[in-house]
Amino acid sequence: MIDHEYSDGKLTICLRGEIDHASAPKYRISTDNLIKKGGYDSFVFDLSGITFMDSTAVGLIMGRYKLLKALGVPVYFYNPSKVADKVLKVSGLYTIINKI
Amino acid sequence: MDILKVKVNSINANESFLRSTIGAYCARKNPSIETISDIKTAISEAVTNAIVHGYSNDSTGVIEIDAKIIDDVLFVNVIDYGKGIENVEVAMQDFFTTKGDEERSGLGFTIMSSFMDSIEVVSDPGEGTSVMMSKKLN
Repeated sequence: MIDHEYSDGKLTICLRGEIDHASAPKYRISTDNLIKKGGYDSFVFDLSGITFMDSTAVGLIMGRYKLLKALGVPVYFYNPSKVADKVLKVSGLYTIINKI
Repeated sequence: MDILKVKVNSINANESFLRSTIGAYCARKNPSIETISDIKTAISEAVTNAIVHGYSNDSTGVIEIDAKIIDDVLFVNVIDYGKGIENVEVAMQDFFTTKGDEERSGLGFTIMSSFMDSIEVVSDPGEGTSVMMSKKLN
């Protein structure tokens, strides 16, 4: 399970720790279960607790972004850690997902 | 002479093991936290490529890392003996992936190139792939 919070129609999911090819499936399953549940009109990835991520995490976020976009739900990043920020910048994800 | 050689099987758990090992190896030169983090990210990308693409997730494959530090510069070579890359130039383009249906971003080489000072990829279809990278440690 991953920490999450509903507040004023906003679902915030806290991704913590190391996201790589080995760990991505558990993050994907937990996140998708919450996406399927509904009950929100905007979606936030809280990345403050990321201690490592690589391009597998970029693929994971892109996949969730596409699902949410198809549902008409806007997606945002909140407080990316330094290591997350650098990978997000290089990958160009900030051009499609804004920070709040 | 300051070399490191590691040889492991192509299992997912070795992604974090290998990046942490190379990170720890570089620590003797007191690099910044950011430099260590960049190196760990690049190693993770190369090792993941070997597992996912080189060996198509077959855990019997072998991944070797040859590293050396010369004059405060890390030279690291990530080698697999898997299926190789048909066209390295195309594979290194941003967003290129042969596994789009598995949510691969196609940014592995982009990240390796951005986070390291140099990268050279040599691959022979059917023989394997070697990713040579370097980065100044301080």
